[in-house]
Amino acid sequence: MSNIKSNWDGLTGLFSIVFGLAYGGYAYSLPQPMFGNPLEAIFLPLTVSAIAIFIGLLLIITGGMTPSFAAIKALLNESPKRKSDRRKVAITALLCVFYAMLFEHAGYVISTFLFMFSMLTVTCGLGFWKKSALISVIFAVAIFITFNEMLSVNLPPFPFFN
Amino acid sequence: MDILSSLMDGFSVALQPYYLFLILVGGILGTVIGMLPGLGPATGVAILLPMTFSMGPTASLITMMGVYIGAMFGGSRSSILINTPGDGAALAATFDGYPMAMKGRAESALAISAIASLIGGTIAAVLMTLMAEPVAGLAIKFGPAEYCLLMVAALSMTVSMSKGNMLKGFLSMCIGLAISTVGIDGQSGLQRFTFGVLELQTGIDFLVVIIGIYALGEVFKSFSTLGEGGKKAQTKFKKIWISKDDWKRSKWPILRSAPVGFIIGALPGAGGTMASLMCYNNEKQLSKNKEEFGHGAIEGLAAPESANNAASIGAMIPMLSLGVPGSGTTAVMMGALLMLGIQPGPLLFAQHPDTAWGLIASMFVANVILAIVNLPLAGVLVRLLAIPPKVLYPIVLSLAFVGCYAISASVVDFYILIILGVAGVLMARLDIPTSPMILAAIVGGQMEQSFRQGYRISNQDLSAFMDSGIAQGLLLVTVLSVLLPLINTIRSKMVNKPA
Repeated sequence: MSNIKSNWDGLTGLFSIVFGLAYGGYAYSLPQPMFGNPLEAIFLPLTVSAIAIFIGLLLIITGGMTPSFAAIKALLNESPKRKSDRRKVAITALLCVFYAMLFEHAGYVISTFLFMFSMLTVTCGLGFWKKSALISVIFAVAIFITFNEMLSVNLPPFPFFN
Repeated sequence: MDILSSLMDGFSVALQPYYLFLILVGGILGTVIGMLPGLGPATGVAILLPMTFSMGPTASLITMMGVYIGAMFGGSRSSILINTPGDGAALAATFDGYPMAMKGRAESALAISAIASLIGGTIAAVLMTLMAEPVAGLAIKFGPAEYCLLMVAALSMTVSMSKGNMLKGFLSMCIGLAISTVGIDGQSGLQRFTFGVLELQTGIDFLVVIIGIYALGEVFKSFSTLGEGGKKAQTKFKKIWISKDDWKRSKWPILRSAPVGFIIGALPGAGGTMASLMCYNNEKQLSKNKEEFGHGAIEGLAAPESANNAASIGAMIPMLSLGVPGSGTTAVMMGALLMLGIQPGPLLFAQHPDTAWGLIASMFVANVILAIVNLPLAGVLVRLLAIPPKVLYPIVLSLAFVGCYAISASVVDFYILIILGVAGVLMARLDIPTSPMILAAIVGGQMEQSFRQGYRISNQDLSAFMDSGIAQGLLLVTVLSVLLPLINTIRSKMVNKPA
């Protein structure tokens, strides 16, 4: 086991098969169009699904599953720094989701300030909070003015001042 | 003569003070973004896209051209000064550029990089001028079948040229095609893969795909290097120029690499990274001073810089003449054109000559302006390399979101953006190339519609897809682009097999 060179081919192949089956299955279950050849609208999805399943099988056959298990094991045993990097990516993705949820309700400036401030806290640490707050305010206000006033792109305004 | 007069008309557009100003501003912003590690021209053009929304099509494209060429110029600054390429295309500049800076020759390295970029870009712009309209003229003969096959050929070339495993390239293409099928089917009115979400009925904008993969994905991936203290760049220079001997050594590598870079750039999926690496290796083979390569050989910096800029202009050929983007950056530019109601492709030169020729002329102008900006102002511009990535990346993320909102005014696209950003990280981890996915998401819809039109016109006879010489040629390209790498892999495995 220790001599096995790890790679993700097998697992990627498995993903490809699952993706192909799910996508093709959903395409097949779509209602028939009211007019025209009923197969035309799902011809591309079914072809893509078939290619994905075929590619998945080839990846599993050529790569095998054992190197993927070794890769998972290596991933679990990664250094604390790499784990912390992954945690940062997860936290950032979560912050992005919160930002998306707040964006239209709290308005651009408030939601962007909160997002930037929390992002800068993730990347720079809590000790940087004064500068983070300053950068966040300047950025959010400057972008809001630039887009709304100069570029005619309407960003969500302040919630109570429509 | 026609081409010359059209080009002159283009210059009469590009040389107007307003457009010169846009090229200058776009070029400086592009140079700055190109310099910053991890942010290449595609990310730069994508996040600066909203800046162009209030402009007309010509102004918008010319600004993006300035950003694009500026990013190509800027990409090598960080390669030379801190051994960290701004993007993949500037990688080859680290091989000899950084050793030159280490030997106290940063001024010569910065100067030859700007000069090679100027000459490479100008030669490529000349080739572009000569080729764009004839290629577009050929494309007018394309029917739906040929268009469909053109996109299939572009996809197969991108898959075969993408880094790593070709099978994974095909998987990436499948994901991109799946993205392109989301929304109401234009021909039957059927809702496909919308899952009841109203906003998905109009489909997933490919600009959202590009911003998600390039901006969010790249920032997520860069978190692993956040903790590492960045290298400090030299910011004080003597006169940034080259000696006669430097020029003597560099002129032929520059001139040789430009056409090669242009041709590679015009191939879908190949791009500046491949062009610059190939030209670096070519020069190494041709050079009498092979042993100097990697230790500060000026021709080892001049050749890839020339190729890199020429490739960036070559990538415009398929976008302008055929309506198929040749690179991530041209994909964003194509998206901008579509948003402004202009369809890139063979009819662009007939229907919007001002835009098409103004853009081509702006390539010449942008190269000159950027060389002027990059030589005396290098010391000022590289100070921006001092901005810590810890501050920069949150700004890029926020700009990506605001850019996305400016495109669709829909928060649903934010979630798609986040999913694609995370997908970009996972794909990098699994060694799945992203460029086939992006190209497939862009051309998938058009490819499907062309296929269905061709299928109906031919009374559901698939052999019509092989009737014309153009179709046969495109099919041959498709088959060869898949088979040749396979044959090469099998041959190399047989050669390396122990007896």
